[in-house]
Amino acid sequence: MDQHLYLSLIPEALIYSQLSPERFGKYMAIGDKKLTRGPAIFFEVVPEFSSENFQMDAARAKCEPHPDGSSRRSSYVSVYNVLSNVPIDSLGKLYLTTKDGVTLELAPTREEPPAKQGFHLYQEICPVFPKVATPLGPKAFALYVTNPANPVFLPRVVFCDLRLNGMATDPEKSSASNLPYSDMNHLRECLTSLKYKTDKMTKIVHRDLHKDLIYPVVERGFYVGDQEDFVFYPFPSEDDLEGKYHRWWSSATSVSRF
Amino acid sequence: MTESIRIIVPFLGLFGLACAWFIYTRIRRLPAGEGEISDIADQIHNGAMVFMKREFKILLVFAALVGAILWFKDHFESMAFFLGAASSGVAGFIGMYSATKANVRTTIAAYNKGAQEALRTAFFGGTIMGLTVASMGLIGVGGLFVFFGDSEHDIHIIHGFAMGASLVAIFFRVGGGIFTKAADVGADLVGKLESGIPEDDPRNPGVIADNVGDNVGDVAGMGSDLFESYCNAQIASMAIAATMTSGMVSEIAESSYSLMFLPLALTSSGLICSLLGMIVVRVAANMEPAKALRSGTISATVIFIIVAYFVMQALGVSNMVWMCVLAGSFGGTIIGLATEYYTGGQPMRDIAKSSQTGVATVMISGLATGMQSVVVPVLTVAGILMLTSTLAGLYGVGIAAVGMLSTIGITMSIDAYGPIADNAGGIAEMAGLGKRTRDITDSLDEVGNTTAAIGKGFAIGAAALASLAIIAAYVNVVRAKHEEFSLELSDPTVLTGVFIGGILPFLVSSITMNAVGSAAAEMIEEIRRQFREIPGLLDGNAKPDSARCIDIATEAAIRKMFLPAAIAVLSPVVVGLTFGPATLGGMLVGALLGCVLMALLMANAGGAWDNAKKYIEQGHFGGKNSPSHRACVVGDTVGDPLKDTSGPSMNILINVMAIVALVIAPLL
Repeated sequence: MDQHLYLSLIPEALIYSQLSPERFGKYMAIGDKKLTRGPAIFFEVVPEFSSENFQMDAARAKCEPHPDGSSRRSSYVSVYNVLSNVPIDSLGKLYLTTKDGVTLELAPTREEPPAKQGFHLYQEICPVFPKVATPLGPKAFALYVTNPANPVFLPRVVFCDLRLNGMATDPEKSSASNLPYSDMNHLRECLTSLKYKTDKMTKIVHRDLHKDLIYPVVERGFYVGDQEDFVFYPFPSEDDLEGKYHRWWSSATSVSRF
Repeated sequence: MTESIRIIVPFLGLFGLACAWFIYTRIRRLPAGEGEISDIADQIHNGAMVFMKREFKILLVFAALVGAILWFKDHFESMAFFLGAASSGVAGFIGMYSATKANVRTTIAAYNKGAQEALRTAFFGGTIMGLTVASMGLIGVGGLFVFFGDSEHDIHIIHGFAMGASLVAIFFRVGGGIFTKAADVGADLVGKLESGIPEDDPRNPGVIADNVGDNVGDVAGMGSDLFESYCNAQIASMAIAATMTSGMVSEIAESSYSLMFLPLALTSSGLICSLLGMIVVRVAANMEPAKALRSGTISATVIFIIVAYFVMQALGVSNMVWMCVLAGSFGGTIIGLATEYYTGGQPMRDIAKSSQTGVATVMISGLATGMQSVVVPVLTVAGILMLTSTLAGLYGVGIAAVGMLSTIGITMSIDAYGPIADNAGGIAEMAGLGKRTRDITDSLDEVGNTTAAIGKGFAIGAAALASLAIIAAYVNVVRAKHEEFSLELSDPTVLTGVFIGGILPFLVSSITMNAVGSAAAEMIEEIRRQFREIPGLLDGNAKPDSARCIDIATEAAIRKMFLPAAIAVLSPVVVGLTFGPATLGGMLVGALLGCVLMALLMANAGGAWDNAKKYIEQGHFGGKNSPSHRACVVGDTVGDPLKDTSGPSMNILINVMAIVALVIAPLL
């Protein structure tokens, strides 16, 4: 049986598993007793990866089929301080699983994300998860928040950018009627304060991660970066979401009545 | 002359059926897809047939029981009862059968040829139901009139037909209402309880039941509802005409016979006008869907009003009666427009706006909108009542109801179009036909939602007027036996009846709403069993047993509808035989007012909540997934059983009570 190594971002953990990414995503999102429900985001880590900071061998040895022959769903390597110990070049594809357990695969690229005017709204996903408004582009933002010269910094960061529509260039006056954020006035204030305080690079909009409200508002994609490396995982176009990935998109944007 | 031409009526009905058959053969020739698409469509069609089969089995037992009781009253009336039940059942069956054939063809038309052809397919799929409802009414009522229309003393036999139609309507509308929401709730809850199966996933055994439910509620249910009102309005007008004194007759017509025949003459003309309206829709199919459908309805109504004038001239009926037809037709339009305003206009947008402050304000504003929405329709009914009774006495009220319902052929077609378009979208979604096809089916479905809301308002208005006419006929029939009989508000026995009648709509609403929850629970149990016991179902390697799900939901729905049906049928009998005709008359009045108010409140509040959610999904107030959207989803969920189960049950409740009262009136 295949053995996969996954870096889960929600929650942060390094896990060996015999499940394929689709099945692993489903397992992480809904469990095997169908009692849990919530999105999962994880990288597949290259098989060669190893770190002295973790007891990799023990976890790998444990990742064997169950006595009844079924696949081992998870053998945890670590649940703490994981991202900082896995170099970016060891990260493979990124998988986004919806609360229903439907998984979308995103391939990495070293290309720069398409340029965008104005302010940005980033949802940090790992290792911390505030929603941050900033004038910095994705690569510059990754460099900024991982910069040791700052009083507070992260060793490495995974984040995605969220839609701002017209508010990106005109936070005070632009209509934002189709943005599903809960406190639009606060968001406007944050963006407006950045507009006038040009020396300020980041402004926290929310401290918490609203897991159900990431996929519907992702703009260009997901990013992982540190001081030395930066990788972009482009999000599918609207047409592809409505066509090729319709099942995933329907699940990602569905609102349950019950 | 009128004696000889009455034979034309059932033949016109046969002509209408022939047209429906012609359209059906044309629809059947259209491509129906293959592979997964055809498989999904077959499942929906077979599911609908499972539902019909179960309904008919139980209906047969129930009808045999009621028919046997009626047999002791009058053999012919009992036979008319069976004919009425059979006519309504056949109309429902044909409608469901053809709608579940047209849905997939609409999907394929949208995929292969675009919006125009998809609109035509969906609409003409609906016309089969429209034409069948109108034609079966003409064949049944017209046929009975040929045999029993000669004498005022035999006209009561036709009442049996109305009662038969009403019995089927209870099964299709109340049972169907419980089924459709039980399936909907059951399918949605599976996503919650059995995570990993999204609500619209083809592996979900409830999905097909949900699609079947759309047809059960809005095709068979709405069809039987309107069929009942259509026949009841004609029969009540005949009954009133039969009990009118010669002095009253001479004021508005040359003979009593002309007045008895007039409802049939009008509905016959209405069938022809509906056919013309259908041609208009076909020609206008390149316009926006809403405009095309509206132009068909308006042209049919306008032509009908003109034709009605000449029909009355030919029958020697006064222009006063024609003005009653005019009042009925305009009244129907006003009620439809008021419904459209409250469910799709500013009040709906206000509900959407209120969602920015949470669920509570959505609930409050939705209820307020529903309450306010009763004002215009009820005033319209009151105005029609006042105007028509001034113009032509109680007969005018009956004829106004006939006027409103004469173009049922096209009205029902547009109602049946909605679930066909809705199903077409569901099939496109499940078969993964891509954004372009879904965009087309969505645009058709959007119009279908509006037409469904208007159709509900129209059905309520029509049921109200038809019931008013039946109550008037009831009073006349009782008066024929007890000359001094009258319904006086100062009479405590009447007032007692009014209060008793007032509680019935609330009681029935509560029973039907609770029935949805428990019927859904039974379906969920079945879905869970399937996931547990069918190997490979969750992995997509095995197919769900959707038919079993439908069977269970049908059985549960039918079991749950017995109590409301028993209340509707037995309450007039118990009250009439225990307290006398005055209390029964009062009960009918109380129930009529309660039913109309509750039906409008529930239909419009539910429709407004539904559309407010859709309005937000279009990108307003935060769009889909926003807190506003989540608040409106709650409103929509609460509104669903209101507008699709309990609300429509009100039409049937009052019509059944009134017709049972009319049938037992000679015994009181």
